[in-house]
Amino acid sequence: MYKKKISYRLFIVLVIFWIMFTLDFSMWNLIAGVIVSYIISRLSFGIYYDIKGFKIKIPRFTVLIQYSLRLICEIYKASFFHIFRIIKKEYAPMIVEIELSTTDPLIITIIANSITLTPGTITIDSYDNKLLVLSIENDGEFGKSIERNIKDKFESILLRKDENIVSTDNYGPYSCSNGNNLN
Amino acid sequence: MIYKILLIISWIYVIFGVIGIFRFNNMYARLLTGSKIDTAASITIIAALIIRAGISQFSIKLLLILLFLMVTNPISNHVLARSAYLNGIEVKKEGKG
Amino acid sequence: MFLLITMVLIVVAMVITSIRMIIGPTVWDRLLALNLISAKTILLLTLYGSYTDNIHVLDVSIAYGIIGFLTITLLSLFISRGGRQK
Repeated sequence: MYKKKISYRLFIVLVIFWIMFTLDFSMWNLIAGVIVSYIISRLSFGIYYDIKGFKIKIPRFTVLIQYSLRLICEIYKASFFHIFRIIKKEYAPMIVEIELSTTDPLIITIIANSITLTPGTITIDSYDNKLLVLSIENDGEFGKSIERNIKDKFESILLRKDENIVSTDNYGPYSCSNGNNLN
Repeated sequence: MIYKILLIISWIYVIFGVIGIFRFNNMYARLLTGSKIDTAASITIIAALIIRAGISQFSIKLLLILLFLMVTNPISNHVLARSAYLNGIEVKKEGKG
Repeated sequence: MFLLITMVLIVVAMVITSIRMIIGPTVWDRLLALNLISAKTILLLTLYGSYTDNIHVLDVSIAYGIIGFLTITLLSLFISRGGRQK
């Protein structure tokens, strides 16, 4: 049996979340938080991270902030147009298949979530790197414009981040340590 | 002052979200209405409360609630849509469907 | 004042949404109404906590959010596997 080592990055994130949830800076509370975080990060060996590093690639923090700002912007625009759609009562639902250019599960999950939140579309199912998307309005060219829209708005940011991780730094607080690059 | 304007915008979203549930005849259209307008209303209201509270303990917790809502709301809508689609509700069906 | 009006509006919206829950033709309409009501419950609790300046109500609203999310996910998985017939 090899010796289990805990991941300090996960430990620090857990302590930060403990402090954010309790907002109590007395000594016993901090000690309890440290103990609980240590136990959790010890127990999650093999599930969330491995000897080589994290199993899941997490995007960098600045990219996440930029992405969520753009997401909130898009949600506002989409809801505004949806109000007009409710008033005019027009809809023609159809199903489109979209093929993404990544195979990373986390990025596919983020993209699927943001598809659900933005202009008139909702993700139904996904397999490999294809997404089954339900769209409320029929654009007449079998979903080509929807696919272009998604690729321009969301996938470009996340893919730009990938190059950053591989090329520049492996030691940022939210980047993944080396050993499991994109294949 | 700013939070009052944001709250007034959120009233519009809440009212149209309720109207949209009753106005469409197709089930998927209702699902889309629920997923979108409701999330926009939640974001608006919580942003208004954050601006009202300023920087304090209160706004950190409100930020956590906002993060939580933005992660879980689309997931529950996926699960609903997927369950309806796999059970064979037709997409193009008009009327009561 | 504005917070009070918003709270009253959200309660009225919840009541009207529960009509959709009663008359909904399919099961998924009822689940959708349940989802909307649970999201509005979180908002109502958050507004109430902000109105009375009580920070502990926000913890309750986070707990309600987790419970509502689990309810929707488990119920729709249960239904998509065939409910009680299989």
